[in-house]
Amino acid sequence: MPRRSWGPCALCGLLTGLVALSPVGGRGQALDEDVGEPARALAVGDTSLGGRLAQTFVDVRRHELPNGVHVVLDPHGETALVTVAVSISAGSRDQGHGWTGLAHLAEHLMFRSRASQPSHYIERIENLGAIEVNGVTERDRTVYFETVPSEALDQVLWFEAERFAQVLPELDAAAIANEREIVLRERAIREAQRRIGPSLVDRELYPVGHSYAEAALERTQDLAAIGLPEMRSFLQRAYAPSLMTIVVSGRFDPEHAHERVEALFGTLRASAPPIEPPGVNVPRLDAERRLLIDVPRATDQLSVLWPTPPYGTQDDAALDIAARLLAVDVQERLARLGLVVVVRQDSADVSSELSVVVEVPRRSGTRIPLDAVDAALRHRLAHPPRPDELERARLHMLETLASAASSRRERALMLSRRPPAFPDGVYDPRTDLARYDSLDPDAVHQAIRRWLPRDRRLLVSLNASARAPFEGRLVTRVVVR
Amino acid sequence: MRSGITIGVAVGLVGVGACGAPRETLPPPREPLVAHLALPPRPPPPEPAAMGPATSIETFVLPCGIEVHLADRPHAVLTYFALYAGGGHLGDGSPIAVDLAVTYAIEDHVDGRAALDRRGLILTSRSGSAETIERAVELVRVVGGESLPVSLLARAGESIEASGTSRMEHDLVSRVYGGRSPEAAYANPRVGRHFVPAVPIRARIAQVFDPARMRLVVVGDVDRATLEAQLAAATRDVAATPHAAPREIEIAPWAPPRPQIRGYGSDISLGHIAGLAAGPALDDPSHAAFRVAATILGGMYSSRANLVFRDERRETYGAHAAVFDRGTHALVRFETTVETPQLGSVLELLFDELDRLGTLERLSEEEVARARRLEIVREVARWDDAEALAMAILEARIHGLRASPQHAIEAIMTVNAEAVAEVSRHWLAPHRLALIVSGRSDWMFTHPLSAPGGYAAAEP
Repeated sequence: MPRRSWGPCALCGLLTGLVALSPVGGRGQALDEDVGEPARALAVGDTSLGGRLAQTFVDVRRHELPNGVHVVLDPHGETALVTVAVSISAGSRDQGHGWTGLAHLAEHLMFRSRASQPSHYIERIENLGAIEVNGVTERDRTVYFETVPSEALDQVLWFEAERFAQVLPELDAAAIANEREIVLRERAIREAQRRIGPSLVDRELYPVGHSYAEAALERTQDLAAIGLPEMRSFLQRAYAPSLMTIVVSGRFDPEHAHERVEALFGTLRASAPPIEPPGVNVPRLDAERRLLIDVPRATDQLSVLWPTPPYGTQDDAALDIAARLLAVDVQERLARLGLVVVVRQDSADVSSELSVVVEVPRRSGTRIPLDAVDAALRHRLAHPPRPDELERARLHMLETLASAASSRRERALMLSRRPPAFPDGVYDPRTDLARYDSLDPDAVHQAIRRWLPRDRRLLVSLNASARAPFEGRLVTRVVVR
Repeated sequence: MRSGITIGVAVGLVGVGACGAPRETLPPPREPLVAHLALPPRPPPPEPAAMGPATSIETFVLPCGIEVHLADRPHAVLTYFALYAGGGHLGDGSPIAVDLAVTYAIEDHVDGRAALDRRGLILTSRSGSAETIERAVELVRVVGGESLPVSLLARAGESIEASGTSRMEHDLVSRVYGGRSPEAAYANPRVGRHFVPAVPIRARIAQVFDPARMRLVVVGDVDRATLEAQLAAATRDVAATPHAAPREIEIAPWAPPRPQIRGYGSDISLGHIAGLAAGPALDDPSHAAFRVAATILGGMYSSRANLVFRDERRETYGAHAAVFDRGTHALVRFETTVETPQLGSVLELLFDELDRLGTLERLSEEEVARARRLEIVREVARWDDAEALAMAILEARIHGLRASPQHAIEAIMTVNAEAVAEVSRHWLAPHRLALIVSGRSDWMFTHPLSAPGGYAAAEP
């Protein structure tokens, strides 16, 4: 599943590797081996959960404007609300070496648009009754969204089109300086919550030159170096019409919305060659790597991580199921200790990550949870899941997808994705559902054997230490060959 | 096989530019994009009555006393459940660790989430399978009387350690509720390390998990007759108890503790301000105005506090306020994070903003209208989302209130600037806000902050 962390109280959130790690010196892997072909689309009319969920998407219409803007219209629901999402298929992976923070800063600047009006953008859009207004910078994309009463759709489409059109003419050094300060504040808060700098783990997972190697970073000196020329260059190449996807989801007239979107966004034109998206590149660790890091947090923590195939591949779906199976296994083994276990496949376009994270009481050490993880992993490497286990895990995944599709905002965000591994490079819910529908025990077993080797992974032990520096202190780094 | 081990000790890792290579040269900018169309006319305010279908809620009571509310959503793919199971740290003397242990144990057992606050344990789940009703039955059985499996108790004997954050959090809450009466509901902090043996857990279950206090909400495409029959069958062994009225939660008449601000030091450069104030209950005529006032304070991005702190002064990433309903009263919570040396100036502006809210001449009709509109849309959205709807009905029923979106929307529509100023003068006057401020220790110890009510010396 793609990572979802849409924070409710931030005007934007930088979606970058929380615990991204991977191999120094590991070889990159172009994804051509055994990850399976994209699955067939799930048939409408199927009465299973997946079939009923697919049925809710039958009215989705997609088309492309002459300038390359991709449009998704999703009329559904009985309440007169509509969510508009504008997604740019460029994110923090596309900044260029040495320009960390550029994509995030660009996202902030979009909220400063006055769009030819005297008052603040946010003030005017909230005057329409807009809720859930936000922007998010991910590694693979940047997305903006809001929910408004249906009768305000024309206005909100105008505001969206206008701010994309006017962001460059309005851009000035003062605006960049202002938002740079706010981005630095946001970074400080995010690090305070996470209590560990992303560079420590990303450096282990992604080799120099990988498009995710610097994606989670925002170096102060890089932000300080961003001026008008760099920002204009980035906006022209990243916010090109061909990289733009607009989703309208909720109660609205599709014909009218089509006409308005075409009139408003059809006038955008490219003024520079768009950024070329990076290809699939899954790093492979060449050994087990272990980090021990002192951090000023309340509890110790163990993380076990593997680089895994990108979003949309068959093995990505198999690893979603594997994550659920491992979560149950590890939780059972640690239940008597009352430890909290989270296992997830964080899917992304270039390379995903599967992580097992166990919170441990301070000074308890991570040996016991690691033994539990290893025991669970040994079992899963040796045996395919039983059919009943697979069915429970599959149901859990489908319920998770159905829950997202039931939320207007998450549904719009889901439909605005353009993962390269999907047919034609656009997210299709029925294809997504079919990925899970077609999995059998052997496919899950093979994916575990292929992607979760015990001797090529990253172990991160966070040691709670009141005296550790705020951003964490690496104590040891061990490579086990 | 492991063939070798390399150990390296890293130095100066974080923040170092991780890169020996020179910064990449970006292509030069070209001519900008331009759009030409005129802004469409502003639409009229939304008509709440036309925004969504009315939600009908059917209610029935099982023989054992559990009250069930069913909101039918034809063709919904998922069904959502929310069960209020009682318990909660309501000033009845039970260590909260016991309730937490039970919460974790139950969460392990059911396929859903368990959350405990001072009102009690709330279980939520969702289902898209053919066994939808069985999921509801499972939720009820696990807390319905003596059916709590012994295996669950294994996990209950766990350690719970509050973090520094929750120490501050509970100090804040305690100062709101416990200023006059330390025994008042909500007043007891949950701090420290606890080991909970099974015996008090069993006693706690027998004492508090009373079917007659339970409320189950189901939202989805579910047949009422089938649901009622299966729930009744599943709970036929559960002893019936007289149906109890919702538990009344009293708070002491508001008198903010002095000093008003408590400061904490830390080794973190960031400072944090968290404020909490009580307000009128959900069924109070002034509740809607209180809600709009809180939205103006920090419930929208265009709130003056947020725009000034963030965009003009660049002192914070944002300032936020939100309302939480608690039956006999409401709470408004305000928070923001700043660099420690800016705590004083941000506090000053916060107090000015509270003063402004209570001064009619300083409020603009436009900001009141904007806040009112946002609250209406939020209310409509809340009742449209099945998961949120289940929680909204449950929240209302825990406190014996009527669950009615139309009632809430109509109340919000009547709020004007006079009502906002009046409710703010009463509930949001600067001296009524309990504040916890944290920041870098060396600064906190040498820079006492000023506020109505005074300031307690910073604690490490």
